[in-house]
Amino acid sequence: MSTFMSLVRKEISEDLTATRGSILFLIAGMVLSAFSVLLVSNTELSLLDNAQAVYMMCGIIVMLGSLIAVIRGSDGFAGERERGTLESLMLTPATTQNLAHAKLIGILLSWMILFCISTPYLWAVGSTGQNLLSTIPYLFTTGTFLVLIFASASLALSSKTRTFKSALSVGLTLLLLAGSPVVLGPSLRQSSVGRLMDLVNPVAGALNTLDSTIIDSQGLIFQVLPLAVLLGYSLISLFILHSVTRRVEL
Amino acid sequence: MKWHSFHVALIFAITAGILLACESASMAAQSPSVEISLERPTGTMKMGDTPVFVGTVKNIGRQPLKGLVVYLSLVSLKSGDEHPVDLEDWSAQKAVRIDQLLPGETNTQKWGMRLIQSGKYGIALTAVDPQRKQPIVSDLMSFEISPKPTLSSSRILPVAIGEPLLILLLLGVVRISRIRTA
Amino acid sequence: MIAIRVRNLKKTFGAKTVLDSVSMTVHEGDICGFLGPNGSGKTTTLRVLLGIMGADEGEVSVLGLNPALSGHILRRRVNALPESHGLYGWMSAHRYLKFFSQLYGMTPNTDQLRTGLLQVGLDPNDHRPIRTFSRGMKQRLGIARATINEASILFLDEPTNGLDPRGRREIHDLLLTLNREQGLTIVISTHILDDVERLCNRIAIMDMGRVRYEGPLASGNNARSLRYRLHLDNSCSMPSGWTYPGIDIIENKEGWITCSIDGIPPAYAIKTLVEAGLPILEAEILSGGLEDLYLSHTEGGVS
Repeated sequence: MSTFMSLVRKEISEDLTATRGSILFLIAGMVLSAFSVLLVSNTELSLLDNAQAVYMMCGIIVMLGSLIAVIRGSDGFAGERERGTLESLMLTPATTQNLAHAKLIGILLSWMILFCISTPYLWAVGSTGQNLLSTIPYLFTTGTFLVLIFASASLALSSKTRTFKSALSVGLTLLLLAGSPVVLGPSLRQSSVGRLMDLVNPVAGALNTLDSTIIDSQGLIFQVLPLAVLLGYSLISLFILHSVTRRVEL
Repeated sequence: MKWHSFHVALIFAITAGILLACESASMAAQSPSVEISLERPTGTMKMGDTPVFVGTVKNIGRQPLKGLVVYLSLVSLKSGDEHPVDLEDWSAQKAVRIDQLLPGETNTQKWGMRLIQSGKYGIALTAVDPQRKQPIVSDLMSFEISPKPTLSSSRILPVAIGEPLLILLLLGVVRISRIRTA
Repeated sequence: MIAIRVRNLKKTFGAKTVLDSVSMTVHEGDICGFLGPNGSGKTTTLRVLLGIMGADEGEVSVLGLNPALSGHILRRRVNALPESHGLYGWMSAHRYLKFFSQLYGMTPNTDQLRTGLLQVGLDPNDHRPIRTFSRGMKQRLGIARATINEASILFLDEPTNGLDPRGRREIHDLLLTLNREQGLTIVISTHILDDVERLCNRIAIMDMGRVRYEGPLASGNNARSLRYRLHLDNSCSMPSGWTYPGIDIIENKEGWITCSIDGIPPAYAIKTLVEAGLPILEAEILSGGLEDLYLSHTEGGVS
């Protein structure tokens, strides 16, 4: 087995076997369960039609994926450094870039596991409504882009910070900054500044894509621009990760 | 002097005329000074929709009207269970007061409404002029709110409860198998 | 053949100079003891030699390669045990060894892994996670990992930390066997002088970022300038004018001779004195040895 594949396998094992990795899946399941129960028990939410409920659920899923990406990414190098395992890894023929890429694949796999966990919830909430089948690939695509972006950024940060706590603080701040314009009121978002922010913000791009497909039933042609923005951000993040991890100090 | 039938008839006619004139004056005093109408929202109406009802009030009298109060009334027309509906949960818009409506002036008001329950309903717009005894009511507009498929707890609850347990079970199985093959 | 050559190595962290013109040479097959107080720069030097840290100035050659440029190639041919073990607490010892073997491009079978664990005194049937191991067991596992590939050079930072005397002896024997049978060059950074005296044929003493002493360690332990006090049989005396290279008589008084032994094994020196007609009843070391050498070259001592 090649050095790189050994690293990938170790990351996957750590995800599923170590408590630190597997607890995130359980928490994600509980969050989705809590939201599902809220959908049927809360008066206001119970009036939502299936499309809106599915849209809200998809929003939660992509944000959970992004959050897991930030947490796992921040732990990538800084956590290994704190636990004293980074030096041992760096003493092997594995390069720090190998390590970064393996961790990124591990995080992407976590996202795929989360996606699989989420699918039954989506079915339960939206199977009698509209656009559920077309929702699935868009959710997967937008979620993957967001996870790539935040995981790469967090891993890059983690390679430069001394502690997991510092890396996580910055990563969560970035996530909040990216997510916060989405909660602006509709009138603000309709302004020219709001539209520009929506265009350049990857989180807004993902949520607008989901809105457009699930609620407005718009086709692929309407999603080209936001998906292109997401792809651009993903490529930039990957490039930054690759460059920054060429040399990692202990 | 002899009362001829002509004289009787004349007195009778004058009396009737006076009475009629009084009646007419009274009626003239009570005739509507406003004309109100309610527009049906466009599109189908189903549960969860938020249509906007547009009501117009026009002063058709010769005097300006002050302090007009205009409000919507909603009634369920379900056969055998007709009853008024409290608009508290349906609409944030309460009664509207129009300070002044000049002769010939038209005032338009909008009532946004959230259709929270399916069924057959009637809605009417009422205008109250403090100077008059009779409120003016528009024609009753009946409409049907169609139901929509909402969330089914019978599907959601098993998933919400079962899936975290399944995740726990799967993680446990993975851990145990890892330990055994280590 | 020279395995490691370092010339005028310099490294600073901000305003602090950590390595100041470090120079040393290690030949193939040497077991070199790398001594120095905490903060003297030993670990930084090892990291530069392994290519995981860059230097500001100087020339470094390990197996003919520049670690800064060819670190990933070099690390296939060397191995190291850092002071912090770097063990994954959730893995079992077997899994851990297998993982690191794979990082070196090996595909070890179960028997090879079992042998690697047995070699360091660990039970290959123990599948508990590493976080349940004692400190000594973790140290043994770290050594197992460091010896998993057929490295040409082994860098060990405090390899016998946490081991009991029997464990230390077992590790010593393992390292001596590897050195003897495979010609493995070993660099040991340690505070335990006993380990150095038992294992090493060469030492380098660092202090405040500089190598203060570098040279061979006389075989059978102990280094130069031992001072002995010898009690002679009263019926004999030192022949006048007697001299011998490496033995310097400092004082001869009332049956006691104080002499300095430099550059020859003490046992040989005493044998020489006996053959010169001095029946030695008692020998007492006054000063010298590796400890004195170390102390004299560190913490402001005269080098």
